[in-house]
Amino acid sequence: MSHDHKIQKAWQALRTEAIESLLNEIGVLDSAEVDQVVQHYEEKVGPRTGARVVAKAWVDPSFRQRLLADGLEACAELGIGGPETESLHVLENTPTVHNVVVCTLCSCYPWPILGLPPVWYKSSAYRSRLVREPRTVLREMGLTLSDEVEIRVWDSVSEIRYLVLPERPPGTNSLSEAELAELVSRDAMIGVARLPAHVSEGA
Amino acid sequence: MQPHELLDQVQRAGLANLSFATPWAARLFGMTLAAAQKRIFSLQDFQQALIASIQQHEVDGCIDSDEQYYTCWLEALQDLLEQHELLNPEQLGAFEARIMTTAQERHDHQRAVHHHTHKELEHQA
Repeated sequence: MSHDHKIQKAWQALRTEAIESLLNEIGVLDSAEVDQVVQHYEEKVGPRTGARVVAKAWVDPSFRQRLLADGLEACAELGIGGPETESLHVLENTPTVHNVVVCTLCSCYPWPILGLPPVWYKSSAYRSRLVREPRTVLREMGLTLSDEVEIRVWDSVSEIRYLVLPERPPGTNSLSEAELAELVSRDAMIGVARLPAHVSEGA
Repeated sequence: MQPHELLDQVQRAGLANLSFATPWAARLFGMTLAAAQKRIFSLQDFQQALIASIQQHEVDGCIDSDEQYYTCWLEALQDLLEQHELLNPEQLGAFEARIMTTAQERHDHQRAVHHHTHKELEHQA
């Protein structure tokens, strides 16, 4: 009866489970410690974390200065960060300079600030092509920049992680810091998007 | 990945909830960060292992899904733990076999209980 009902499991799922129970059994790693990390990343950290940093930088010039001088230390002021990132460089976009981040060798990403990276960030296509032809790749991803805008591509290496500080969109003078944070997208903080001008609800 | 696929992915990712694509990817990520926090290895060491594993994978193919990416991650973690002599392939094989046996037994048991209950209900009817 049971012979025709062999259970199926992806080999990766099986291997992962085996590694975890082995590490458990030899006392190297407790599953509760793993649960904690997963829960933190599934529930607490994400692009909204980075959006708070950006909005704060828009409204508070001295914070912005500290952020550009030492990203990690400034983020720590807001209770943001973690042992996973040792150095954070914040790259300021201007009307003439556009920054965009990639990790060509693997997929380094400022996890504690932006959460988990999207699939495309890890793809061979993005990683191999962005440095070579940034303007074309950005256009394919929906961001067309005029030739006057200089594109700077930052490749995450060793311990350095990058966060793009997008330009504050026009039409946002009356918005609060929290409302501003709502406008900031993850893609803008990686540098593959720009934030559109804000149109207020009554307009 | 074709150009339009890159755009598709950006648009889809914009809407999707950013959590792990599969439960095993979540466990891998969690194990790696927890191990680094406990200084079993450094994240820089893991990064080197991941770079090697991705390079290997990209010799004959591309990464364009979470599954492929986390498969590289799995291989990197396994390699690193083997280097640190915390596990070896034989042990791992034995654990895998044990997990499958347990899962199969549980599955068979559940089916048997279900079958039994079903018969009883038929009988009562």
